[in-house]
Amino acid sequence: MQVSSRSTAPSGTRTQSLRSALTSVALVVVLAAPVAAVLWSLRSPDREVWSLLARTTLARMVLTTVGLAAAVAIGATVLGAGLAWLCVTTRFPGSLVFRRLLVVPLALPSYVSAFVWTGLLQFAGPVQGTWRGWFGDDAWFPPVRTPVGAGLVLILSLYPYVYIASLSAMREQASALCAAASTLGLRPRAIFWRVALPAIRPALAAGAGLVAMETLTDVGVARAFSVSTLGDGVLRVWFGLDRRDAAAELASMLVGLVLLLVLVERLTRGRRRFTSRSTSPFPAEPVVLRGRKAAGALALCGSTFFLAAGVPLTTLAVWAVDANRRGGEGALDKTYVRLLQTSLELAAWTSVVCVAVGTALVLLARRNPWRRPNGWMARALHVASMGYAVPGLVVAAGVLTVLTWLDARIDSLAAWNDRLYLPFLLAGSTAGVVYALVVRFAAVARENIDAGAQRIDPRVEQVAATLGAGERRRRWQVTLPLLRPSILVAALLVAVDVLKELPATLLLRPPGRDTLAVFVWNMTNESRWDEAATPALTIVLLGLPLVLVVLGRATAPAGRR
Amino acid sequence: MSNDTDRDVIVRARNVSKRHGTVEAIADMTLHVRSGEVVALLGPSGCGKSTFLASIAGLVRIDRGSIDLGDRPVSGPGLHVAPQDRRVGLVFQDHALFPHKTVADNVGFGLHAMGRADRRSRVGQMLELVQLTDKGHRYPHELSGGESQRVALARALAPAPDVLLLDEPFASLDPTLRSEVREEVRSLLRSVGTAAVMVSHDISDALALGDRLAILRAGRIVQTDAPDAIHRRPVDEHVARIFGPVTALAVTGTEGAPVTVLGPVAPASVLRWATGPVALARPHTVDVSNHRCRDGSGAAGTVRDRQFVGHGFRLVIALDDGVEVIADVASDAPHDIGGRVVVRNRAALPPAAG
Amino acid sequence: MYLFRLRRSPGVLGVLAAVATLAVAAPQASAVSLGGSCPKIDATATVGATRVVCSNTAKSGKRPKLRWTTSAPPTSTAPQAATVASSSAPKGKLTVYSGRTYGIEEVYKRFTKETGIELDVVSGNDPANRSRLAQEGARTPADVYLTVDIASLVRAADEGLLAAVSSPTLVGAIPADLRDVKNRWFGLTRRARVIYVNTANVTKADMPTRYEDLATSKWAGRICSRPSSHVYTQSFAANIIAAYGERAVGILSGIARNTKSENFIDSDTRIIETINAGGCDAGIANTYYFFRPGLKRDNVALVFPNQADTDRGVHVNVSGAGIVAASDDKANAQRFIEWLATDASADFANGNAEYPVNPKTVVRDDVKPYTTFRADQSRIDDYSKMQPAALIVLTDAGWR
Repeated sequence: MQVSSRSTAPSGTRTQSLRSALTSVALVVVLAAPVAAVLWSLRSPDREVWSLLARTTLARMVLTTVGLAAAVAIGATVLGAGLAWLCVTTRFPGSLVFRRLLVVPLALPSYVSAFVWTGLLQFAGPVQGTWRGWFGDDAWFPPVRTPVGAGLVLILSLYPYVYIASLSAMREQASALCAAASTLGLRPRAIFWRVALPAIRPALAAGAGLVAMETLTDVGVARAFSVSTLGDGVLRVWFGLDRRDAAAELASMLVGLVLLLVLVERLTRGRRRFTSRSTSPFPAEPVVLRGRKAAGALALCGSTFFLAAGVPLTTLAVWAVDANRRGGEGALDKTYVRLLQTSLELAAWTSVVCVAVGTALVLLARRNPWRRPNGWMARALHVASMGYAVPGLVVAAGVLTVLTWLDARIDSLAAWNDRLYLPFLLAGSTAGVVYALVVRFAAVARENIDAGAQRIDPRVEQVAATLGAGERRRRWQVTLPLLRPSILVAALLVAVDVLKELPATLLLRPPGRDTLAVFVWNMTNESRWDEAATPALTIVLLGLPLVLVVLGRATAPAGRR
Repeated sequence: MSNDTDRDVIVRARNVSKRHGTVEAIADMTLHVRSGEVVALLGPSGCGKSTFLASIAGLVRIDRGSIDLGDRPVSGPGLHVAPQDRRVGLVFQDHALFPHKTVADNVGFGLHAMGRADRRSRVGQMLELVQLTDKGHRYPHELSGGESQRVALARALAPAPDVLLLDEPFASLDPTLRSEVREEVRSLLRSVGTAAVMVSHDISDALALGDRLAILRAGRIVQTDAPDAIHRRPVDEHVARIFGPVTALAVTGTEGAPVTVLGPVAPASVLRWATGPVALARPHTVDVSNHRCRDGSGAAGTVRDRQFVGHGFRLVIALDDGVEVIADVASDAPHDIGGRVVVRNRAALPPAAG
Repeated sequence: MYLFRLRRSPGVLGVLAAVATLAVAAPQASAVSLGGSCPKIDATATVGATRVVCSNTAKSGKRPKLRWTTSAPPTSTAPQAATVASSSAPKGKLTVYSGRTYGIEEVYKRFTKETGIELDVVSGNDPANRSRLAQEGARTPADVYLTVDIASLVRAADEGLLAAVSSPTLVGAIPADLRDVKNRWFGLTRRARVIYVNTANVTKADMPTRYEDLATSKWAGRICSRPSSHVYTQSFAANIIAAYGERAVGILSGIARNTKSENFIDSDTRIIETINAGGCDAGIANTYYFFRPGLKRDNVALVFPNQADTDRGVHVNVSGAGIVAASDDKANAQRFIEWLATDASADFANGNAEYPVNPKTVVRDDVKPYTTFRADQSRIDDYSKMQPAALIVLTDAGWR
């Protein structure tokens, strides 16, 4: 029997609690400052811009954005959950290979798929060319640059979030229930609807929430498909109208939508973390599909992989070969090496800081293994790590505001004392980018490390305490070593995200420190697709092993650790 | 009952209370553990026994009452000594070994204040004690259930704690292993001589280890005493049932000559329960025969149910005046269901009649 | 520190700056009048540095004169150019905020090779770089601000982000209408935004000759356009506004109406490809994309619009550069810009098939046949300040 975790803590020394309280407050302030700075702009709304938008495009932007997010979330959920169900419960030729291949799109940034697909499908592209060759010049072809097109590309690049979530949920929670259900004579379809789906609903909700969030914060796909979303609107107001404050106000609308989503997700998830993780001792025997059914399954998995990863990657490869044959920009040259190096450095720094911050957040929240963190502190720490829900653009704007303010303070300090020479500039330094990326991705690290911490048996820490280990020794000798695998995975996940990240890096990178993603963006902005291909492929290739590691962890049977 | 001024009391818990929200987990619990003594807290799950153990370990801050370890107050109004400063050893049901440390490192974890050489020799000593000398380099997941139980014990005992706390120590072991490990732990505790508090919901675990039992119900201790004393004089029917099926027979007659439906009983065996004076009849003390005895004692009844229990049959007999009695009879003396029998209570007979 | 204060109150200072600048350049047109379908907000709206006067009583029919006459003395009225700070020691390294992201690596390398000065480049879009420059203020590491679109350069100058330079080299190399009257920015290349037409679907007789033609119902559903989020479209709209005032909305909404929603394409090359393949019959894009290697253009004709003697000429944008006011190495920054305008002018322009502003620079052979055109002589920096207003008008006109 477990010693209740609801009880209050024995007081450590008072300085200890004071120190953690101060650390918590400091972390919360540092992480929340940029978003707070953006929200602060709401205190005096730019009536002029708002009335312009309200008169013209605001309604359409909001509707498009919300509609797109909803449609993509539903589409990705259906596709992701369906594929996961197929992969868990059936066997068909190639099913084990496809189970892995289907996560590959996660490594492919959606803005890259977007420019590849618009290139292939546009009127002048190869697909429509062939189409007209077959059916004549007037043959109807669905319009490509529409919200539907953008939605389809987003579904194809975001479904893996749901796929991975449901894969692990099905293995963890549903398989025992399904085995029980099948002995009760339920047919597979009935099992899916009546047993598996309810069991994995929390995982689906989480995955769908993530997909919707990514869709809300997307800018690249919307631009490629000329769809006016709120994200695109923020850019227009910021750079087109030259109204940064108004842009921030518009962006806070986006933040509001995302927070709403998070709230809904929390409410739906309810007490999921308290459900049993027990796995069935008798894993459901997969059904071996044959004949037409096997062909159907193969076709579904195959075409999904083909469209979501095969086509974009092949196209990129062809373009990359072209660019390299021609030489010049976008080839594997010195510039490329520098881009790669910068990307990796940024990813490494951000990973390290994120993991440190994430671990600190988790440890602060469970300072003593036998107590639940006190309410307001836990909530504050949680809110502080919500950066993931905030569009990179908004984080960048906020970080810029915060760093500029700091720089100004440093300036006045330098002015106050002549001998004090402070040459560094926070805004536009590597530290500045890393700060923004940490604000954005600390939550990714925290969530993963927290999941690891939830799996630690609190009794192990309690025993350590009775064996005379104080808080510090328990942390270093027991908790952290047990967290190591989750910390590693968290670091990898953050690294993948940093490699793909665009807006914050774009707006904050220091001189001469372009990343692969920034280069891709610059090149695609000038319609230099070939030149963008090699760095884009590199992003995918770097992300791939990391994504597979994540998949391996998500689907591994619950082991001893 | 123990004396508060005893010099050799190791754990002195007085009127300890703890609430979880609105639920009273433990209320007004008083318990003393003397040096070298093993006290078993017995009660169903959810009765608060683990909370009490956690209160002693310092993992729970108590709301009211006080706890002293030896002559040191550790919990009380405005006082809470951290677990790491209490010198208690703790063994959990599933052993909670550090999965990332070897057996030797697990055992040596509590010895960090010692020098390296001292620590090594102490770990060796402990491993020898639990007969795992050759497994020091193993990791917990490479151990059997019994072995990890022993490692957990060795780890808890290594720093020579003032008191050892055992939380359902055998619950995770399968039945065949269980009695074996129980015996090992019993002899180990005897040889070390450390005072211990153990909580369990299983009477055989408690009897195997406990010098004294404390019976818990709904967050309160209802009786504390040596096992046989509790068996003889349980304070109520629930406590009486802990040791197995029992029939509580209402006592009538005078104080000097008490009588039950099964005949006269010794005045000393009469229990004064809240429900009134009773005498207990346990299945193995109830005699069943086909005929009334010559002295005319005993009560007539009908066999309602019969079940084979290994050493014989267990009968449920409905006496003619409505009382149901459970009785064990040898397998060579079967009584069919529906048969008429005469029942006597052997244990509670007045000495004169015995 | 005044830079921060300037940033914080763009409204008031912006109006003053706009009025002041316009007063110098074209006193008759201190505000842009928009009639009929003007934004129904306040009578006067201030966006960025431009004042949009919205009034239905404003006299229409008379084209606001925004031309800058050559009689205006280019240098004499300019405020005294700051002498290049000689106190700051050259650091051997320049930081360039560049909107030009391609076809330029070799040029940069050559500069380093010839001068030993290394270049740290922040490449990104113009407005983002300008926003960053303003944000960083006095502490910016930037020395040179290089843009592909004139609007951001002019706005940066107006916000005080650029330093004035007295450079005989630059004055000699760059025609007066392609550099700042106050010598804070200098044009490096010109880029004409022309009409591309599908020659298979459009007969000679039907060829558009003016941008305005594309707004007529004849072209309904046949146009490809770049979304208004892009500065090229904003600059183009500013050009139309400069020419038509309040009637610009009608023209722009006409073009927008003629563009099917799936034919708003955020890439000039893809616009040309689509026209070539017959996906639409005409569209507006910059000339230099025509020379992209590998671009399919067999069915495309490049039309310089508004070329009649009485017409205003094709809309021309300018890429250029200026020295950052807060630069601590203005000497080398100036050297870099001078080098781009002279020695490297050919490479800089030809690398992207643009038109060099330096008349002495030799244009590359394949571009040569397309160099004879009449450019809109409007003072480009005036209407470029209307870009925010242009985006408002474009939004009102229903341009995606």
